[in-house]
Amino acid sequence: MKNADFKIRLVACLIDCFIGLLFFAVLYWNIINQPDLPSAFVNIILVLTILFNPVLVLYSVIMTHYFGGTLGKLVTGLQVVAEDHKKLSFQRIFFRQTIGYSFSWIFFGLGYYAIVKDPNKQAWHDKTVGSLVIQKDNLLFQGIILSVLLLIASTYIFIQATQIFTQSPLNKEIQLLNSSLMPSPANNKKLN
Amino acid sequence: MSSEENKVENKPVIEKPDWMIEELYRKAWQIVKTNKMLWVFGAAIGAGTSFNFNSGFDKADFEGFKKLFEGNPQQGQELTRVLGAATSKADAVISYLLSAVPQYVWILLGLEFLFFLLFAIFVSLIYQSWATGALLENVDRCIKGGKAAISEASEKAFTILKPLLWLEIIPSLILTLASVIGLIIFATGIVFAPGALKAVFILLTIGFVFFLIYAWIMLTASLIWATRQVVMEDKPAKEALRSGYKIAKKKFWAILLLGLVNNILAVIVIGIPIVVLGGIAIGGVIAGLSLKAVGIAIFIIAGLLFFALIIGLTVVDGILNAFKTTVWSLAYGNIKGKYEKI
Repeated sequence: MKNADFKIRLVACLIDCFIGLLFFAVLYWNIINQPDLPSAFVNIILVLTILFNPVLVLYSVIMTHYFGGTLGKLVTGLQVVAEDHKKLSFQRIFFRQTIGYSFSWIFFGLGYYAIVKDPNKQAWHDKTVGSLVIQKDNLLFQGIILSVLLLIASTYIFIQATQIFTQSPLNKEIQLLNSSLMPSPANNKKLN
Repeated sequence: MSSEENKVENKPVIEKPDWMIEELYRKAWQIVKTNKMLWVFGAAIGAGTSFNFNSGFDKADFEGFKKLFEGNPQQGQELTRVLGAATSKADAVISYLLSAVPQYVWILLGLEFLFFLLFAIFVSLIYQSWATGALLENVDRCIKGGKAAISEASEKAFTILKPLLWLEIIPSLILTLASVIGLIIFATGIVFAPGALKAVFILLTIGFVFFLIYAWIMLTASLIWATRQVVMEDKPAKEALRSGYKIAKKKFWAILLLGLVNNILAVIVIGIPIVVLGGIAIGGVIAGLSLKAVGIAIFIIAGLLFFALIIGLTVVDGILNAFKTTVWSLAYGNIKGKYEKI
């Protein structure tokens, strides 16, 4: 099995980003489709509870520990392993997915660009914990198709939700509330 | 003993200083200039510190900035009068919306925020200790003529993560607690003690504050050497701190001087570009009051330069941190094993 190059790792990363975008789009759709302001507000708070959920915060750590990678990596046939091709320990995965990524970003993402130059195709976060990203199957083409589909789907949901919002009772309620809160010019004149 | 031998013994002995700042700076610059990977670890130390809610951003600066945007009190009153009705309505709407959320959701959200905060603190502490260990290891390798490397330095940092974390947390935590408890006791004494006893408490408080300043300087100086002993000599944390304290006590003034020079350098390197850009921005605001077009143009230029500055500062901060660490490591090399047993 060869080490994964920059191109396929970028596609895996894009798939992860677009899955996140789709997730946000669905949450946005759900908030927009509420019949009134209190229900929408309750949904916003519920979204916050989902976003700050420990499982979601540690999503990439958990996925890499149990499955060898996030959804993006799995879909493109990639797997995170130790340099001796054995399973990486939980502590090292935790470090890689939190501090390691931050370390790679530190000089404007130069740590990711290292994949292009490095003979083992290791990013800085790989070097810190001694990990490799190996390519079990060559699924680059499928990965590109999936990332484009995910982007289209999430964009479609965002646009649809925004169109629904313009005619929804929720929008009317917000406009009504806004007009009642904003002081009118006539009122200002009276006050002056 | 002959008279000649006596003469030699009575001669005042001029001890050679352990380090010359100029020499340390020259060597450190040579090392940092040629090992760019040190810059990355230097920047990582900076990132870990800002993660750790200790970015060095002074609240007083923010207060001054805020004042620029504060109108006069009369304007404020007028605004409140105009918006008064709306504000009370908004309050009603907000409380109505808040009451719509079930209580258990707030509890869940609160617990999640708490988890997130603790998680962020935990990660930042590990980041800081790891980056410190890796940078010190790399600097040591470079001083010995080797090259900086991520993998080896990181592996070394992992093996000494526990003592580094201990040094990062425990001594500062104990001193902070002691400072807070002491200040509370003295403040209580000043408030509640009768007559002359109050004056005694005031004097004691002043003495305590001076002691705290000394204690914090000593702790900082001790930690400089302790971390190096953990990384370079694999010493356990407590032993390294004790040993670091002995060095700090013996070389107090020399350490203070080197620390001061390092900090002055940092202020000059980081501060001057900020002051220049701040000046351009303020000039833009002043010019904008009379000539709008010129003001906007200057303001845009200042904005672009500020953006460049943020990018540049990351690199400069990395170089500066690496440079300061190298200076201290070179100084440690000169006094290694000299004062620990005294």
